[in-house]
Amino acid sequence: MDTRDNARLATARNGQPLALELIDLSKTFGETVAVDHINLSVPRGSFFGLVGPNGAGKTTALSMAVGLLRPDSGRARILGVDVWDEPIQAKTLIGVLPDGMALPERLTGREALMYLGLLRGMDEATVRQRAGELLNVLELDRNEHTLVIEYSAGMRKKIGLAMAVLHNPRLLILDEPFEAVDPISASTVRVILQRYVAAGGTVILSSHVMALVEQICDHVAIIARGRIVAAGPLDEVRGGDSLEDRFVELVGAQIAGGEGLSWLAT
Amino acid sequence: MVSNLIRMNLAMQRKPWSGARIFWLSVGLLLAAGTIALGVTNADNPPLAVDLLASACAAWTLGMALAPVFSGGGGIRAEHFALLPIPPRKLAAGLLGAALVGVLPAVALIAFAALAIFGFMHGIGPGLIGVAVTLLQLIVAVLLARVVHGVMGQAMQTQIGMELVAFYIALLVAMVSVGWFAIEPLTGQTAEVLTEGWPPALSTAFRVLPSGWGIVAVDAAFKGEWGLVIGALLAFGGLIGGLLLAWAALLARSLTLKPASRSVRGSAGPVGPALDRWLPQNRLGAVVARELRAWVRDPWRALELRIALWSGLLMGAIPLAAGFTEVLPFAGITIVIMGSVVSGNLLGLDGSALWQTILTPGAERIDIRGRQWAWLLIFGPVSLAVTIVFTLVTGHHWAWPLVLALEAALLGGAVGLMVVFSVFFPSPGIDPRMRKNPMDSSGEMVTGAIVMPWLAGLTALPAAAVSIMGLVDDNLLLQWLGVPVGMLTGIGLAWGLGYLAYRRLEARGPELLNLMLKGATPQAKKDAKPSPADAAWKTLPLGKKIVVYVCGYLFWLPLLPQGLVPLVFKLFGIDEVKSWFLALYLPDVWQWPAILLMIAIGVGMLVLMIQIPRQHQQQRAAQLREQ
Repeated sequence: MDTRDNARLATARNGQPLALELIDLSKTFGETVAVDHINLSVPRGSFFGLVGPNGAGKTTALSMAVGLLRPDSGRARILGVDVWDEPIQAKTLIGVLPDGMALPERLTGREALMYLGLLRGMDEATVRQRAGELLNVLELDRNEHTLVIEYSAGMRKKIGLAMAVLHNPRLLILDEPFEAVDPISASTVRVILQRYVAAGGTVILSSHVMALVEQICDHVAIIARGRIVAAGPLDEVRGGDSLEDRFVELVGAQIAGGEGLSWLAT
Repeated sequence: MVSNLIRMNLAMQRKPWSGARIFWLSVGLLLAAGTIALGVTNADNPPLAVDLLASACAAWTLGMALAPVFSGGGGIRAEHFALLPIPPRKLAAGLLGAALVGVLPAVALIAFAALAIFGFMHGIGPGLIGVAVTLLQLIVAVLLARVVHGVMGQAMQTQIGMELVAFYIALLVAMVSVGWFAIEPLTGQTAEVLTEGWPPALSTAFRVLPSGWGIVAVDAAFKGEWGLVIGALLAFGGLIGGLLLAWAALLARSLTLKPASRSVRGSAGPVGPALDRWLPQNRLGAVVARELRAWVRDPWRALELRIALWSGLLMGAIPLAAGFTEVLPFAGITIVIMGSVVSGNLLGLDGSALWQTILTPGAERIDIRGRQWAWLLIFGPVSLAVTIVFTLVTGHHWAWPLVLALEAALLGGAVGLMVVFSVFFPSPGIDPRMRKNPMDSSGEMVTGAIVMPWLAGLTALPAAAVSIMGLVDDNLLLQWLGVPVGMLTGIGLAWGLGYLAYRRLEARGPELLNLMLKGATPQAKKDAKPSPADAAWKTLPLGKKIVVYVCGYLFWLPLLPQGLVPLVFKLFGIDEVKSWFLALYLPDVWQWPAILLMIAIGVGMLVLMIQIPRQHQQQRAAQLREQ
């Protein structure tokens, strides 16, 4: 079945809008087609994993989905609200952790959270309380006088995540949230996200670590060369195999490294 | 390795030949040709030629030393090689090779070739020495620029070092702007330098400086003083070796730098929790707090802030050397203008952090307004205090209404212009999360630095006109009327230009973010869909492009200072001040025609600037339709 029909069906089935709906979205950079007319439906309340090889178009697709990159064609809807037609309404519904972008680098973690909370129009007491809790849970409160620019890669991910959830959005879109995060913090982040989904929120995360996606996500989409090659509930997509096997099969990649390189470590 | 580094550097700096670049290249080539002309036209008077060439070489060396500070960081950096096992000295030699190949060194080479040309005009021997010292002079200039940049980077690690670097740059900026005030009493008539050379003391100084060694060697070869020639060449060798060693040592240290940041001094710091107590805890207050903290903690912004303050003060102070106290009451106003110059690329400074503003509902307006308020909180009180104190101290009480009118008008105009420049002409540099060396800047700011003061000045025109009219007529009421006029235009411009800026940010946020992420790379330019006007511009012949740019950059020259200003002077019958208003030096009959001619030229240049691209676009559209 075409993914677009799939999307319409999902909307019709439970009578309420999807958490995220990408319709015929595409983007070309110069000669390179980064995202090639993709359609994707993310049901509400799902823990959705977007997997794909490096350069498959994950970040480009997510950037267009949230309003950071203008698509060449197509639409993106968040809980039924069109991101490019009603940006303000759409942006109140989401929390985003982009990959490889600057933060308010010259603020401490707490200052950054206070800044963003107030900028979102939240009242001071709420922001202060939430910032304190987030810093505590993510173990960033030990570096009270460290500026964000001095943070390690893992700490940057954690403060980015704290900034994404601060206003308690309905949909979280996280680009590579576990990259460079140490195992203990990663477990903390997982528990936080699982509680969030259990309470009715929706999480979309991108990753190229199959095992992790398999463990925590209930829905998954595989993206390769700018196209969605499979999407749906995890068990449907992997169809009895492991996600990794299915991924390699769908992406059509060959596992290299068995030949050549005879000079290495000899 | 050197050839690899050269290729890498060229590849990293490859960018489209924008009109602005072509314009600056033309200016550089003209100056280089002027340098050569200094030697050629005075070849029959060697002492004079040596004098002039020695000072010109000093100017080129100084200019190149400043270039890395203002040209932004696009090229090769020592940090790129931090993990490669290359010894610092070898790296320094390699990077020197890379630094020697580029547009600026090429232009400088043409300028320094004046030494070789001057040499050949006096024989083969001096000519050959001239060729050698041309190259040596270029190497010294390039090396000196790198070492100065490195030393500044190191100095910026400490508070006192940063203050010194800021003072040094501000002094250079002030000397370039108003230095002639100070030089004139030293030299007598500036105009006579071209015919009689520098006074003995300056003449010796220019020859003793390394920038003068080259021409001294050529001159010595011409006179047959071969001992001096060999001495100069040895001195070059020693200096280049020493600079290379110094640079290698600086590279070794900079590779182990921590991220550039000034420490947060906790609750004791000026921008710690205390700031939150007196700023409103709302959306606007949050942005103002972020901006104030950035102005204090970001080494580059802290440096720019100090450069603005110091150069403003120095521009008022340098004319004191010539006994002019009249300029001092205007020092606060120059601080405002310099403040606008250093703040014309705020979005570029924050780089890809823009994503947060885009994704926070309705944050674009708050962000722009917050930046404006933070700027006003910093530059408003300081400039006002300087204006009041200096006007009081110098006792120029006639100036009160004028300086206050200018202050009000310029604060508003500057705070409006700076956000318009930041949003409409952002120049991405090294993304803030990657800035390691404290001298890592935020993109190129030369064009803004040249255009901004004039535009800022324009915003004060109504207030200045009213106040000056009052001064001319000795009408106190009219003089003071300038102050409310200034406040009115100031508030109007701050509000209106801020409005333009945030509307643009709302409309083009994703495109601006894309520019920040990719920098001014050819790819980013290619990605952006060009408008029909841009597409037409691309096919405009080079000659026409140059005409458009020259007109665009220079139309104000005949129009304002040579046209409208003398027109106002004539209307109000001011004949004491002639300054550089050409028309006022002419016989009475010719003054009006000259003024009108100048205005016509200025307007004509404006029309050309607009009409040439428009006509070309129409022709191109017609051609496309026919096809």
